[in-house]
Amino acid sequence: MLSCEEALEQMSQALDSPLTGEEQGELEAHLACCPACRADWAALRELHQAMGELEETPVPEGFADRVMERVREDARPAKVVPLWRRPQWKAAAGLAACAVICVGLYYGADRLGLGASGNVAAVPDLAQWSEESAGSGEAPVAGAASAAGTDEDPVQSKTTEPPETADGTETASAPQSGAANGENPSKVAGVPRAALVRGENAAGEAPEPALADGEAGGAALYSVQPEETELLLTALPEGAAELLPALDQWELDGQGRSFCAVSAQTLEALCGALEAADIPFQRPEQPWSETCRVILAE
Amino acid sequence: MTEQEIVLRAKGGDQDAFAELVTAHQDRIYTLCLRMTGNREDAQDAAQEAFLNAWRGLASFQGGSSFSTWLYRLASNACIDLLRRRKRRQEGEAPHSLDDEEAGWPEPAAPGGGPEEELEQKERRQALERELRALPDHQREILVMREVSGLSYQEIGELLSLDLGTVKSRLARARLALKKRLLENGNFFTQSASKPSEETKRR
Repeated sequence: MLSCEEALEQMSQALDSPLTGEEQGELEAHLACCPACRADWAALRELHQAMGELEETPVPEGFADRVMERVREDARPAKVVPLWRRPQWKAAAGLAACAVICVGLYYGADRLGLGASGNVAAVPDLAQWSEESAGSGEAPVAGAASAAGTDEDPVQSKTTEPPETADGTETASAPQSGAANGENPSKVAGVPRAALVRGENAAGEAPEPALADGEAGGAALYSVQPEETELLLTALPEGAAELLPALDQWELDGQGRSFCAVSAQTLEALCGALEAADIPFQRPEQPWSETCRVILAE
Repeated sequence: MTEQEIVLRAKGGDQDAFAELVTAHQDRIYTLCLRMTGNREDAQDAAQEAFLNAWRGLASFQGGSSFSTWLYRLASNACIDLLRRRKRRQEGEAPHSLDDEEAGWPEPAAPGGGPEEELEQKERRQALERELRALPDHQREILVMREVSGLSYQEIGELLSLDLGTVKSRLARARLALKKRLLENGNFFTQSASKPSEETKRR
């Protein structure tokens, strides 16, 4: 004779697929002398029917569009990033623009009859500007850029206006003549690698996240620089060795953190590996750039 | 064009064809994810993930099972992953409980019959949805996989890494748990279902 527990399992299975003749007989024998199970049997059948009648909920609007957006990104073939779009190149171009601006300022101020020392003092220390132009590089570039921004009176703006990265974007686009490279200086000078930690400018204020071309910074904590998606990690998952270069080949950013550049596909695969390894992380907001940066923090 | 043909074109990389598949299945997949995860946001994430994985996995989809079953499996998988991650983040607590409307569960359609009957049906459905959502994750997910997406015991076993015997017993217990909740918390059972007093014996 079936126990009630066994009978319950048989009842449940009967809802999904027919019982064999023998199983059926056993169940009926139990039900015949167990009113509690009889009641359960009726209840389970009612439940089963009701669940089958649950209706569909329509997806929220735009769902298909969002899916296809990700499909399109995924389908994009891995391109070689053109040289001029690579981060190191941008940084170097930013440095060049900065240098040109500063030289222009120097001579401009000189012509206006101001002492060289007074001008130069306000010009930020270019030595701080590293290849990666991270963190500390932000302030000097913005300072120089905004200082040069108001074309009419470069000297005045330099001495009176504290370097503010927020303004750097707008004003940096002004000195077109100063910028020797063809690239839009606002993208370069005004939007250095703001990185993941808000750096401080010379005035000691935390600057606004730098924006370029009116684009929002997405998940502001983790990807302020819209040009390049970033993923900040504290640990690497298994399988990272296949996806990423060896750690000793990674570069160091201005904050002393190791980083490497990867394609968006690799980043996706890396996220998958992180999830599989149960390592918590913040997935950067879509859309991702073609080249992404993986940063290993302390 | 049959769905098979559309799937074939999508396999070849035709994104428009895949978009057709998305629109054809999105409501069902979303509903499945909604039932499994219990809230709209998670359901959208999981559903999106399911379709993206479908796109990526199309190359390996042989057409053995039907496309929609395959899609259900992907969606169930995405939900399972999401529930696991959610559980780790929140130490096992379900997200703040939403009332039916917030959770985005549908207003049941009027079945025809007098207004009293309509109200009764609506209440029953709401009760069912509410208690389903209130089940622990591992019970809700197996119930939804069986009842909503119609996966077989075999398929459920593969997705949850359980043997058939465990699938059977877990399903039975999930049904019993749902029944108990509905007895205690709703006007669900119209027939003379087992009353609490009768529960005293056995088990």
